[in-house]
Amino acid sequence: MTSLSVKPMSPGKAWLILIGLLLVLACAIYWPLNDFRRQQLQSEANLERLVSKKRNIIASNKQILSNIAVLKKQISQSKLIELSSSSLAINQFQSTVREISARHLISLTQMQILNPKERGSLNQLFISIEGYSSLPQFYQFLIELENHKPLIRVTNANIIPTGNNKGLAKLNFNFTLTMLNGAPQ
Amino acid sequence: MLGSEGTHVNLLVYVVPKKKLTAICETATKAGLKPQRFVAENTDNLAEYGGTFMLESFASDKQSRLRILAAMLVLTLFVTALVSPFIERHWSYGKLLAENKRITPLSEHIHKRNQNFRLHEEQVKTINEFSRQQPTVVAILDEVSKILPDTAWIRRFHLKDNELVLQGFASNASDVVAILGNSEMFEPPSLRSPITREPQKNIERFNLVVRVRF
Repeated sequence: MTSLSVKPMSPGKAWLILIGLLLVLACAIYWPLNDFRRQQLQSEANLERLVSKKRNIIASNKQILSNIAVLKKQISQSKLIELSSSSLAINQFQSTVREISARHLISLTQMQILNPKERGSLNQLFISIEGYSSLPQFYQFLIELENHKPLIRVTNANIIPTGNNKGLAKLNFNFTLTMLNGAPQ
Repeated sequence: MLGSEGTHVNLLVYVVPKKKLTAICETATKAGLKPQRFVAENTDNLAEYGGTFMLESFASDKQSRLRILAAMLVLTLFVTALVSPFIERHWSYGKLLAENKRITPLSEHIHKRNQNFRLHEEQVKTINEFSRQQPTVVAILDEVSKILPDTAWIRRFHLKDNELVLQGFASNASDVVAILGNSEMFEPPSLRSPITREPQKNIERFNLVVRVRF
């Protein structure tokens, strides 16, 4: 029968093994976990920002609604633009010009609808007219046009008086009339 | 004692007399030592027995179980401490995701409404610009007829954008140029062609362009 001898490990060796184990743990667990945590925090912060932005948008809902209502009211009450579909508006525009010219005994020799232009969300309609009249009638015609609601503006005006220098009997004119048109509110 | 190996203890026991062996074995068993085998070796005057006794202590078993439980508890606590921040963040992220999902349709709707508001604002701006498109043709005609002397008359009035072309006659065309240049409504005019004199009528012909101030 033989006797068995068990020798305990030396403390230095035990400490070395423990430190080695801790290093392995740090490499294998701590750093990947730390990276993961940083990513997690970053994602959460990004989402938090997004949610916060959306919360602010929702919070401003009432203000936006009331602002829209105010603007719509302003636009419709001012009556400065024709609020109807584009085709209806151009017909209305033509009728208005005819009515005003008839009222001031203006002889229109030509009326032509020009292509509309987009001005933001509005359309700018154009009508080119040619005609003749006396000076006082022409003046009154212009005044009524420029004070009309919806607004009518005269552009590209060409006025040629005919007659002599002692009293012009007649004015030939051609100009482009324009007005704004928007979709019904 | 001869040595130990795990939970085994090798003992060399001298039993005198030999018949006491059974009693000693019972006593050892009660003490928690369970003999596995005996090897009897006779000596000159003694009966010598050697044997292996397995430690079978309930007390030591309990202690080792406790140690294992404590180690497991410490390990569990360590893992919990390590993982709990991640779980907490995960839950928090989940809550945020759920809220984001809940509020997204509403915020998109309000965002569109806000765009609509900007559109209306732009409309108001356009209308204001259009209405302030001054001076009007009437205002320009008024100004021209007001400042020009009676000795001048216009044969052609042509306005395009802010550029006004005036063609006409005057007893002194240079005066017309000077008067228009002094008007607040117009920038200094420039002649499109030289002033020509018509000696028979004693008048001067002018053709000038002037920019209207907005």
